[in-house]
Amino acid sequence: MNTQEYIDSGVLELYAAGGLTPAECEEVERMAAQYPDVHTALEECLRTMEAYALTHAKAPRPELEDQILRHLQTVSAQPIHQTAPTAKVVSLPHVETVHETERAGTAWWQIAAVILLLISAAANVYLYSNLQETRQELVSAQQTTRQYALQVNQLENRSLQSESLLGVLRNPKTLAVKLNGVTQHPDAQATVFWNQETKEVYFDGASLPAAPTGKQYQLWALAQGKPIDAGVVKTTDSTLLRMKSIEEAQAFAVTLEPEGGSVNPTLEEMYVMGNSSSK
Amino acid sequence: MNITSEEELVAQLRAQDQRAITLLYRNYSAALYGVILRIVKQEEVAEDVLQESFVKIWSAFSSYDEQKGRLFTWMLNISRNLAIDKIRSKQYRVGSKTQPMENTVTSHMVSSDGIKPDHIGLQEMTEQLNPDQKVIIDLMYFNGFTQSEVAEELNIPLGTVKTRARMAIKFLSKLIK
Repeated sequence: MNTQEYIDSGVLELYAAGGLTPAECEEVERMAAQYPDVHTALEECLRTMEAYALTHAKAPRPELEDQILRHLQTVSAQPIHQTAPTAKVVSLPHVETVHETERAGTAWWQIAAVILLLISAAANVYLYSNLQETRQELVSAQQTTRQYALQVNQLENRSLQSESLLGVLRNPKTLAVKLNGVTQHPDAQATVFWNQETKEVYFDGASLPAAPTGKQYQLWALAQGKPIDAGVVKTTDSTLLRMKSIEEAQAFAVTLEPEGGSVNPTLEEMYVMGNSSSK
Repeated sequence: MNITSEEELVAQLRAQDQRAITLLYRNYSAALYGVILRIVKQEEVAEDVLQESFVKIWSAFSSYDEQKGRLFTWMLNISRNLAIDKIRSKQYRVGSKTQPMENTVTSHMVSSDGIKPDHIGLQEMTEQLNPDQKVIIDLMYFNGFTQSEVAEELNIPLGTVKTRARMAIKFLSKLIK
């Protein structure tokens, strides 16, 4: 038999590509079993077709793995022995095989159950810590909201105050009395806004030097030569201070007094003074 | 875990070791699915055929003979045969009536049919295969034509079918080396 001629005929390639009838296939297999060089050549063709098949490889949907493997589990629960061995000899190993299959099946499910349990536990821990975090975030968010509400309230109040102060200042009945520094304090300055109608007094002491600790400025109205307490100046920042209402005054003055104010002005500690040249 | 030799896998399968199924699936599902999809063209059908293939591989494993050929070839043939049976079944033909019939010569000349292989390099190289030779391999491998059916389909002598098949596989064989 000239095997080379047989190999060259292309029949092995047809076999590998699947182009032969079952009868023709058997013939090729017989030849391959008989002649090693035919066997080698056929092997080569088959490997080539394997590689060609691989060029078409495409991964199926990942979900399919689970589905198919589960399906195979049910199939292998009743194993099909196509080449049924003669009963007497293999009855014992056969039974064992079934048992092994069952045991393997149980183990598989047990492992799966444990893995699922672990995953579930891990998920619980993760979700619980997430929940705690979210709760803390909620609390701090609520606090922030409260703070904002408070700030808005304060701003609203301040804005209302400013508006009403502006109203006072713009009122044509309001008299602005400029208080100038006395000889000892030439740089000190203050302003009194005095509404002639409502008699309300507002004080702007922003240009006074800061009061030393333990001391406070006090505003006085001078009426008929007598000093009338118009109230203690609580702060000397830029805000306008509402003072006591004054019915009558020819002049206003500010003195530095012990904290809380005095009944009578300490004249030596006078800082500013100005005439309210009205009426 | 994926690196299991064919011999080891065969031994495990023979022992009906359940773990072998998973290995088998992971190692070969993409290769088998690609070929099945190439044959049946529809993903849904291909998934069914892939499952049938694994059932058959698993249940008929005792009929596998290492002396006759490698495991991969054996599995490819099972998958191919099931897929080809599917496209030949009456039900499938009715179901895919609206689909264009794919087993004409011209459709095989057009080699890119939407399947994206993992082995792009080799896939591109197989494009260099002479179309006259490629169509013969494809008709047999993906359409289940016998050599005489190919000769009839392409209207060429049987001897030419053999020569071209041989040249095609020789060319491919050089590519993979």
